Amino acid sequence: MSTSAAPAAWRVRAARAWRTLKELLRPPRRLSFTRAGGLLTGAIVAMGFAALNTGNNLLYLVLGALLGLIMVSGWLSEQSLRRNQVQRRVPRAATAGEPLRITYEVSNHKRRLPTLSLELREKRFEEAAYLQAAWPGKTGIARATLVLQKRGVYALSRILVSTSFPFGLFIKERDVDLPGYLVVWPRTDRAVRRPRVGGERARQLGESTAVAGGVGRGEYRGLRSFRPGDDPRDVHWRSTARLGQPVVREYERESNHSLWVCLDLRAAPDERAEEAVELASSICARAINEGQRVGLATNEVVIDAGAGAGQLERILDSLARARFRPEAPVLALPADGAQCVLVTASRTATADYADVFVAGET
Amino acid sequence: MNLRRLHHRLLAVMGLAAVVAFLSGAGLETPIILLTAVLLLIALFWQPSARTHEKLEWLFRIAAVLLTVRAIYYMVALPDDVVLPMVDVLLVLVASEALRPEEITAQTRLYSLSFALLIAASAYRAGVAFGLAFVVFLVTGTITLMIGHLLRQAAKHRMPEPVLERGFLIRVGLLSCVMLFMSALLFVAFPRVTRQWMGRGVPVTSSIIGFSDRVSLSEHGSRLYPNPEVVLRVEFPDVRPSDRSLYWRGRSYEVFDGVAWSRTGRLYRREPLSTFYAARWPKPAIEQRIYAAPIDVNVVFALSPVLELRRGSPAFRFDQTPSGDFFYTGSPAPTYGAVSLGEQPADADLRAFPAVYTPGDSVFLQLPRLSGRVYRLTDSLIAGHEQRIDQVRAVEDYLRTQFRYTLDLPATAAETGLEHFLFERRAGHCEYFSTAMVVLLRSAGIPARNVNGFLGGQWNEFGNFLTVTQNQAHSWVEVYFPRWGWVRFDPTPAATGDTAAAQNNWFGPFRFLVDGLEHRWNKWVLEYDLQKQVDVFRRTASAITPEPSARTSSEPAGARSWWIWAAAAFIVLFVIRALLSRTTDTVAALETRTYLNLRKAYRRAGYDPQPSLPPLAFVNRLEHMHAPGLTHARSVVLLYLERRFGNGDAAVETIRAEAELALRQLRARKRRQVV
Repeated sequence: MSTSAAPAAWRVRAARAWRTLKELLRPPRRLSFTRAGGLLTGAIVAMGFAALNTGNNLLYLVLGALLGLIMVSGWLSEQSLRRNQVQRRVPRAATAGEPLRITYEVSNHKRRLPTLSLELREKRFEEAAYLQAAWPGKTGIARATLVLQKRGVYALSRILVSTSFPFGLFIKERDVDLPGYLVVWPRTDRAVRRPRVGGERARQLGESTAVAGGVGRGEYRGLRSFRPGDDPRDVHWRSTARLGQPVVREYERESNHSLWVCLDLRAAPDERAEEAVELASSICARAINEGQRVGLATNEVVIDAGAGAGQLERILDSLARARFRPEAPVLALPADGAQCVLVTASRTATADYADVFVAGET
Repeated sequence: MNLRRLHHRLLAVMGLAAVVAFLSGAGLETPIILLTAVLLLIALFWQPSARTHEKLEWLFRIAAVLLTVRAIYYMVALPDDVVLPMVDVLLVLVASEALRPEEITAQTRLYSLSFALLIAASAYRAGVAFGLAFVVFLVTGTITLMIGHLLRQAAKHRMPEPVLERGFLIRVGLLSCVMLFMSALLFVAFPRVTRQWMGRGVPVTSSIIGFSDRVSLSEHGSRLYPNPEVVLRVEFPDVRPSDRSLYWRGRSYEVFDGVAWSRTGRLYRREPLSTFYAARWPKPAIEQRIYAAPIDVNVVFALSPVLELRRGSPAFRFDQTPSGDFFYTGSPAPTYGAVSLGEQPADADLRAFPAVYTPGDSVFLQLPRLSGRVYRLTDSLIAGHEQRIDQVRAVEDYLRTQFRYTLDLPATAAETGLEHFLFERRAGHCEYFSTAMVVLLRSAGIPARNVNGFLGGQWNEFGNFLTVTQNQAHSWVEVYFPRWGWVRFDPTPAATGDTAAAQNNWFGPFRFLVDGLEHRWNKWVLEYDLQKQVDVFRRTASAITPEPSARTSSEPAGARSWWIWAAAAFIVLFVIRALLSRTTDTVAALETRTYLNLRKAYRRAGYDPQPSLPPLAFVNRLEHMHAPGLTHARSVVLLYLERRFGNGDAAVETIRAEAELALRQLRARKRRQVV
């Protein structure tokens, strides 16, 4: 055992050393040519030859000016890149497949020179944000819109700040180390059938829910004034007309009928696993939108049943972080099996659950 | 003014600068350049609408196609100067690009087109205007390129046009000084050694072939309106001679057909050698360094007689004809040194030897058909004079005193004849005087010839050199004296007031200034070569390292090069400052860095294996693991979050202090573990 572990440790250490070395040797700036820059460089070489060949002194003058242009370009682009404080603002969470916006705030700490024409992008994403200008002592804002197709927690480590200022000849790039993360929830709009829970009665309830909006939300409690976000179907029109302001019916929560969605993570992290996550999130989202109390149980985390938008966010957050691995601990029933729905990537243990959703089979 | 319009106008200025640069070299060789200049001026203030532009574009396209066809024809059929036809195409393209509506952002073409024009200008021997246009091109070019880039980026990212402060634009414009400095530096320092690896060398000018025979009298010195075009600029390294005695001899003529002078190809006797003059004529010799402007004849002008001619550039080659004139090849504008004898033999010396002419060639006695009154006039003039010098002086005096100098030309063709000058008009310009004197002397059997060149010059205090212009074109006479060779005589009376005033008007000082600039431009830019380069480096080196002999002078050696040390100190300070500012470069806010450092420390200690863990989860983890410094670490994280995301106003110092405490406890735990 020890003999096999030793080289592994050595290898780990070597890899770490290699990473550190790479980090140390990372150039402070990276430079690449634009098309115009390439042409200009070619022109400079050609003119150098021409000047040498003909001995034409005016060509030397022009050649020197072109080299000076490159110097000025280098200095100005450096001025644009340096002494900027970059802050990143990411949304609390985003949904897979939907556009999300990352905002960068660039504060210019230079005394006199503006920061002009910056492109900022995350090291792991392609989409860039463009900052037109940040004047001395001021802060400029740039936004990048990107669409992430996979749920998960994206660690953000490094922002690549680049500029082709001032002449568009070269692209100068520097790194700004700014750790952060981005939570991408799984999508919740997958078409999925209604879960069958609590035997026959639940099914009736489920079916009747589609007919009458009130059922499934518990006992009628009274009237209250309308708050943004209330279901328009709950508006009590007669009272609204009488009071001159919108009034809605309020129901008691039906605590007995919590829905537990159990996601089994004991599977390989593949397409089907992702589908299982989306099934689970879609089931939870629909149930919560319908006012039901929903809980989530995975092999690692249990989120107690609850209702409302906050509960959905907690569930989606947790689903975004769910990691599939075959050696995960066995999934335990969080509550009475009649309230539990199993969502799994592979049909394994199906007993005790009221309903089972298998990815790829629904 | 919005940025887009400013960009457009600056582009037009760039184009104009390139046009001026080209004009300074090639002049008005291509008339299209004037059209382009006008169109660029229009583009400064007006831009066509999209519709007008569409129509204009057609015109430009047709013109461009036609000119391209012409250029190809020139290239294939006439192996002549192909630069001009190509420049014509270029000019039409520049004009068409300048006259585009504002909306079109693809103006990058105009950058390269005007730049190409600038390069084309360098193919000619461009004057000092090139330098000025070059500076304007660089300054406007720097700003234009930057604005254009910002506009293109804004369009690419669908953003509104940026707003730039005027001060910033001016500062960017000033940055072009860096380019000028680089330009100057490279210009001075780039080694001028290897050249002509490929292609042809400097073409041999063709003027030499058609040179020897016949030159019309009116071609030289007959421009009677003031022409201030500079022909020679002369530096005197040793001593400056008086202006009056400076006869810049160009070429001589032997044959006069009654109207024009020409040269004969039948001369077999060589001019007396320079050693001949050096042995006989009075000293001292005058050294001249001559920068000649290109004129249409390849004549070497210098004071006469020339003892020695030195090449100013390796390409410069010269040759001497049997009649003693010098010609050059291989250089469009020659620079050369000459050592000449400044003074002529005195009349007494000339009188001491009998005037027996033995040239063995009657060409210097050749005469056109003359009427008897010419001979009678000669006889009356030389009557009573035995010595050749006295006869010559008599004729010279007669012309000087009895005739009047005028720039007015004879009214009709019938009045242009020599005899009309001698007997009716008795007034004319220098060519009439010299021709008359030669004819009169020859009719008396004295060998003489007509010589052209320049007389005198204007001293330029601004540059300490002598400027000789076309105004100073002159014609005089050389008479052969057996022991002395060819001696100069000038029968032309002094110019009257009005002629002299034309050359010294109020405009004079300004002209001197421009001429001084032009001279420096030619000397230090166009003629800059290996020799001058070595010279510059040697002078710089001697300024840096004081020579041992310099130590004996009154000031200490250190003081002489104090500025070197100042410059070195400045550079060192600059580098240190750059390094320091690099370390203080604030990438992330201080609180962020403090937080990140804290996490790094805990990660190294093994409490934080997951870098992607959010801040609060990190605190929870520390709590869970009973990490040392937990309370301080927690407050760091909370303060950090508050400050970064919650607009909290906790002092950064507090966060740092907390972090310091947390780290101290962490280190203390670590030490205990080790022990």
